[in-house]
Formats: sequence, structure tokens, C-alpha cells
Amino acid sequence: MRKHALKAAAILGIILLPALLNEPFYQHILITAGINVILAVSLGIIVGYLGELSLGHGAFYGIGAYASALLCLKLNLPFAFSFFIATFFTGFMGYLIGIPALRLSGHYFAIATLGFQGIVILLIINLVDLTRGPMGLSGIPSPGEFKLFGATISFQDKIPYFYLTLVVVLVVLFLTSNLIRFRHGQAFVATREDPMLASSIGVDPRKYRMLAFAISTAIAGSAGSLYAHYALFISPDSFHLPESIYLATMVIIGGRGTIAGPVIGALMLTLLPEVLRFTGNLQFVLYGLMLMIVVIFMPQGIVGIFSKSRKTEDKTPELIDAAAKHGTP
Amino acid sequence: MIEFIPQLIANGIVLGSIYVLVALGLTMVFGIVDVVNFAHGEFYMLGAFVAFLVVDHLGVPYLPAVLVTGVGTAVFGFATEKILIRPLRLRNPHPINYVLVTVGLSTFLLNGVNVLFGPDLRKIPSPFMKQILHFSNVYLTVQRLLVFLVAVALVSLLAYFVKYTALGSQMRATAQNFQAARIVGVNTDRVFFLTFMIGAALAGVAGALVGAMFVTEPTMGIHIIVKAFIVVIVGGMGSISGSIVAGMGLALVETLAGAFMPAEFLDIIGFSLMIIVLLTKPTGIFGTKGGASA
Amino acid sequence: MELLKVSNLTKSFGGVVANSDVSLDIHEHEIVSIIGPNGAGKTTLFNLITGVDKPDSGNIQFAGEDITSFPAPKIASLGLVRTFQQTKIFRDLTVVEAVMTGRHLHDRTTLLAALLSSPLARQEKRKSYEKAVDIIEFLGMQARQDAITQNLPYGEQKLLNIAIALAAEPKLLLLDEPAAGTNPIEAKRLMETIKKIKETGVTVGLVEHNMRLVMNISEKVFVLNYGELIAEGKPEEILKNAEVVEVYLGRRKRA
Repeated sequence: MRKHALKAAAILGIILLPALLNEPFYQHILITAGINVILAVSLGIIVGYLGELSLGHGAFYGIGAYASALLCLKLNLPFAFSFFIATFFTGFMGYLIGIPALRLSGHYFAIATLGFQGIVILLIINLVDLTRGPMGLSGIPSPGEFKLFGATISFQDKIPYFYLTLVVVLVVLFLTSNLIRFRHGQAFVATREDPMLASSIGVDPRKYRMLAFAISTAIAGSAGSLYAHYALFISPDSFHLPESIYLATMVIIGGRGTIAGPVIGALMLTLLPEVLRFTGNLQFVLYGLMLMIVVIFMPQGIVGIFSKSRKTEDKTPELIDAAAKHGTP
Repeated sequence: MIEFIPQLIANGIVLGSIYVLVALGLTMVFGIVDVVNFAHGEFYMLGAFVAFLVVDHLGVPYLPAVLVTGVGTAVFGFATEKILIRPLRLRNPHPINYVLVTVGLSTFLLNGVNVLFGPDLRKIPSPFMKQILHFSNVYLTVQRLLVFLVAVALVSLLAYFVKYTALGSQMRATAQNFQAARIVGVNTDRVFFLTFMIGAALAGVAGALVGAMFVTEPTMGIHIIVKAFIVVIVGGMGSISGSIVAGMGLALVETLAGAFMPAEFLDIIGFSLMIIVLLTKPTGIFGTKGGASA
Repeated sequence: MELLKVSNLTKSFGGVVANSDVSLDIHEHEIVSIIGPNGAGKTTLFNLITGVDKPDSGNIQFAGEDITSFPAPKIASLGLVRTFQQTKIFRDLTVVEAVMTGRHLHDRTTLLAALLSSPLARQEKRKSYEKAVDIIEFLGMQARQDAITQNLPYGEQKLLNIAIALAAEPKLLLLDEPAAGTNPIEAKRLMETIKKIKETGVTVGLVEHNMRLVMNISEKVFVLNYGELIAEGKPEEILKNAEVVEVYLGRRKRA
């Protein structure tokens, strides 16, 4: 009961946050944090539940951003359409890239994603007629405006965009935690832990690796769309290798193998650069150090510090009922 | 256009020498220690900076400075293995953990150097940059020739070492079968840090050479590491001959193609080649994940 | 009814012939054992049957269907499930979670249902849990239900392997050396367990070295040596077969 009250209070707090922080700058950080949470959680599916490291997530973020922006700019589609199309398109690209890439695993897979990351950025830079190359795409339309109780609410304002982002974050968290909880999530874990054993009980490792990768990249694409229609200008620099490394760092420091981990990691690595902005490049030295320390000494990430006994954590409602019926604690 | 080809080939061979020196360390560490070192490019970068400091601040002549660099980066390699790799091996040896920890190291080193020295482009002063050789249609600074000669010397030394010395066979044994090597008494801990030291030294020397030839700056490691990965994958992870062939090959293809296509496009060649190899024969042209084959 | 029919299966690895023209069959509700000295090709045979490897030539029919070229997950979905020689467990899961994973083929949760946490998804998970607990009780492992699998003692891990396989509701269960490394008490418990499994209607095939186990529970025995099938028949017949005895004990030396 107490757990629920705490959750409700947290959610209420988050909803009221932008009103409490009236500075556009803080509101900007909140929006950025939301986008990073979406990215980190989606990468967390690959890293945590498939056990593979993707160094190409920035590229998929970029594919979503460019797809969404171009759909609006060239085809005049409204944001709602381009958001979803970009999401599915990115997932589809993930699927295509996954067909060859997921045949590899471990370091080879990581290196392959590095390669695809490089190729995608090179393509964005070189297909100048489409993407305006290194100069970037500007003039991206924002999601527009709508009337609420007689007032006009514009998505060019930060507070409405924050709520838009928040909705997407909550939907992503909902979908992802559900995905992990049921049959498909179990299949992911089985594929990660022991592909041969998984095959022998009917879990096709190839199918589930592709599914996880496609879903993960699709979600990254949605974050790209959100970013494009917020910043109204995108360039390849936001989606290159350092971005991929940044996202991976969030997942690892927060804690892989959980949903909460990437959320915490994303929040931390969105806030820290703001707090440490005055240190210039020194902060990146710190992040590198943090990554090394976490990998060696805290493999479960920050979440690992707080995780109690595993058993109680994973007893989701339907299991508690079933267990009660059986008479087991 | 044809008259330029000898020049391009010469340039390609020089570039290839760099690629080979850097790729060798990466491939050996993978073959013997089974670790992909994403910070390997930073050993190259550190090499350039060490040489720069030694020449610029201590007044050491260029060639001895390169030697000092080799030793200096070997120490970095040693430290990396002892402080990062070994603890991980004892606690959490999953392949992607090594990738993660070396990515962290790369970020740490790159930005550390950036903070300490600033992002400005520097150049290591070398007397060999001023002398130019000229034969038939080819112009080369002596520095470039030096790069090639140093590469040949070091690679030959390495090949001899791996093939004919006791330590070399211990390294090969460890690469082929870690457990069996330990059983017959090979000190694998020592083999591991020595491999890191050799790999780092090779990369560092390459950095010192390039730092005089082109530029010394904090992000130079990132540019080279991508090429190194391509070379190592195409040539075969763990294969010395593979790195040599693929390194030279990639450099020659890039220099020759560079005459006909814009620079940004060039990079796509390398990436595509790497992807193709990963998808058809991930072990590369010469590779069998069995070892530091000579 | 012939559940599994293996015909003329041949497989070589490099120069080594692991299986040479092996034919055997397993009928419904039988307990069949495959024995032979180490290196005889028994595990290779299992790997070929279950889709882990592809034979060079030959044919495998399961429940009337040609499964020779089918991939392993598909073969499992038809009801042919195996365990492995090494203990394979899902390391960080609890026993019940590991067994629930085995319910994958019979969990009808669709992707959409899972994403939305629909009543179907929750109900299927509950059913999966209950079935897992049933299997755990069937094997007498209730006490270990919430233990982390990697903390289990070896013998229990082997039982867990069987539990996970049973969760997939096999028609034919192939056990690869289930008694390996077990002490006599554990082996006896295993024997009873296999008999219990047969009683639930599952056909069982074993690869085994433990002769007591084999002789005690098998209705039919196949003997492999150097990749070839050298004998088949009832346990008593096999014991008396001169060639089998020679393969295991060696030829009596001429004085």
C-alpha cells in the first residue's frame, strides 16, 4: 500500500514539475531528460535482456529524427502521422540491419553495430540533396497548436512539449515493462542466458533477437521524432558515435537488466552535464571514469545497490495471486 | 592520371604502414587476451603526445624520442591490463564488459588529454620532414620513408619474436588454448600484460610517427581506431599476417580511390568492407579464432 | 505406433565418422536406451535428431513428419524435447522461473496482449506458473522452488533440466546422460522419476552409461560403437550379446 502511495506521489510530482520550475532552461532539461529516458530504456532492451552491446543506437535515433523531419518537410504530413511512421520505419531499418548483424554476438556484434553507426552517419552526411548533409535540416515544423478551454496551446512552448514527451515516456515504460514481464521477455532472457537450451524448448533465438532489436530501434526512432520536432533543427552531430557511447553509458551506470536502471542512468547523465557544465571537458573524464568503475565494481549499476532479494522484486501481481492459491509464500 | 599512380601507391604504402602498426596491437590483444580494446586508438594518441612532450619540452632529438614513446606507451599498456583488464577477468569476464570498460578508458584518456593540453593541433618537430626524396614520379619526405622503414623493422621483429622466442610461443599457446597453456606452466598473467605492452608500444610509435607527419591532437585516436577495427576484422582477429595484408590493402584502396572520389565517401569503403566480412566470414581472411598466427 | 524413426543417419566431422548408417526407432510409450562406449556417437545422434546438427545423409521422421531439415526450435514445437549432457540452467533465475520458461510453447500470450498487459497475458502467466509448480512437485523439488538455479547442487540441477524439458509438454523426451555424475541414491531417484514420466504418457529415450539404470527401466536398448549400430533388443538380450560384451569388456586374451 505504501509502495503505491509513493509511486503516486512521484508521478504527481513529475506532472507538476514544469510548473514548479518556471525557467525555460529547466524545462528544456526536463524534455531532454525525457527523450534520453526513452533512448536509454530502448537500448536497455538490447543490452539488458539480450545481453548484447549496441554501439549504433545513436544512428537509429538519427534515422527516426530525419525520417520524421523529412516526412513533415517534404510531404507536409502532420506530426502525429510522421511520429508513428518514423517509429515504424526505424524499427523496420532495425529489422533489416538485424538480419545480418544479429547472426553475430559479443564483440563481433558490437563492432558490427559500430560499422552500421558509421555507415548511417556517412549516408546522412553524403545524401546532401535529401538531408542537407553536415549543414543539417532546419525549419522542422513543431507539432502545431490546439485549443484547450478557449486558450491556444502551442507545442513550440516548452511546457506543452514536456507533457507530450512525458506521455511518450510513460507509454514506452508501460510497453517495455510489459514486454519484459510476459512470455516474450522470458524468451529474451532464455536467448541471452543459453541459446541452445532455449532452442530445445522451442524458443527460437534468432526470432527473439530480431524482435527485441526491432522494438528497441523503433522506440529509439520515436525519440528521434520527438527530438526533431522539439529542436526544430537536426544535424548528424547529434546522432554519431559519441551519442551512442553516451546512451550505452547511461544504461550501464544505471543498471542493465532492469527497466529502472536505464531510467536512472538517463536522468543522471542528463542532469550531471548541466550541473558540471562549468568544468568544460573535465566532466567527460569523469564519465569515462564512472563507466570503468561501474563495470568493474558495480556490474549491476546503481540499481544494484538498492536491489533487495531478487525473489520479492519479481513477484508481479499475477504471480502473487497464483502463489497464494498454491499456498507458497 | 596514370602518372600519379606511383605517387599514390607510395602514399598508400606509408598509410598502410601506420594502419598495420596500429592494427597489430589490437589484433594481438584480441587473439591472446580475448579482449577488444576500444581504447587502443588512445595508445596511439598518447604516443604522439609523449613524443611531442619529450621533443618539445625536454629537447630530446626525434628518433630517440620515438624510442622513449615506445617505452612510455608500453607502460600505459601495462597499467591498462593490470588496473582494468585483470580485475574484470577475475570478476566479470563477459566479452561486452571488456568493450565497455575500454570505451570508458577511451573517453577518460581522450578528454583527459584534451583538458590537460587543450584541443589545439600540434606537430612534433622532426628533422625528417624537411628532407624530400625524389625518384621517378614519386616525392616522399624522409619522414614518410621512415614510417615505412620503422614499420618493416618492428613487424619483422615481432614476427621473429612470436615465432622463435620462448615468450613468443607462450603467447601463441595462450592464444590457442588458454587452459592448456596454463596447465603446461605458461604464466598467462604475464603473457597478458606483455601482449598489452607490445600492442600499446606499436600503436604509440605509430602515433609518434604520424604526430610529426600530420598532426598531434586529442581526437586522433578515434580516427585511427575505426580503421584499425576494419583492418583487424578483414584480416582476421588474432592474425598478424592478416593485419599486414588487410592494413596495406585498405590503405592502398583508400589512397587510389581517393584520387577519384570525395574524402567522406572514402570511409564508406572501409565500413562496407568490414560489414561484408563480418557477415560472410567473421573470422576474417586469415583468421581462425585460435591465435596469434604468424 | 512409431513415434521416432531414424533411417540410415550418417554424419562426419572432418575425417571422423560420428554416425554411420544408423537406423533405429522408438515407439510410443516406450522407454528406450542408447548405450555404447564413449565416443560411440550417441550425443551426435541426439544432436542430429533434435536439429542441433544436420546429418550428411539419412532421414528422421517424428510422428509421421520428416523433420530431418527442421531447425531445433521447430522440432521442439512438434513435441520432441531433449536435455543436455552438461547441466544447462538459466543461471540467475529461480527454479520456478526457469521451469516457467519451458512453458514457452504453450503460453498463448500474443505480442499485443503482452505489450498491453491484457487479461489474456496475465492469465497465461498465471497458468504457466501453476503448471511449473505442478512439474516441480511432480519431481519432488518443491523445497527448492524459489532457489536461484545456480545455487542448486549438481544432482538437483540435472533434475531441473528435466523439469524445464517437461514444461514443454513433450511427446518424446530425450535425456542425454541424465545419471552422469550422480550418486547411487540420486540415480535411483532418477529411475523412479523416469518411470513416473512414462506413466504420464511421455515416451522417453535415454543415452546412458549407467548400466543398472539402463537395464532396470528400458524396454529396448540400442548399442552404438564407433558410430555404428551394433545391436538392438531387449535389455536381457543385449547383456548376452557377445559383440556388446566384447565392446565393453574387451576380448578375452588368448593365453
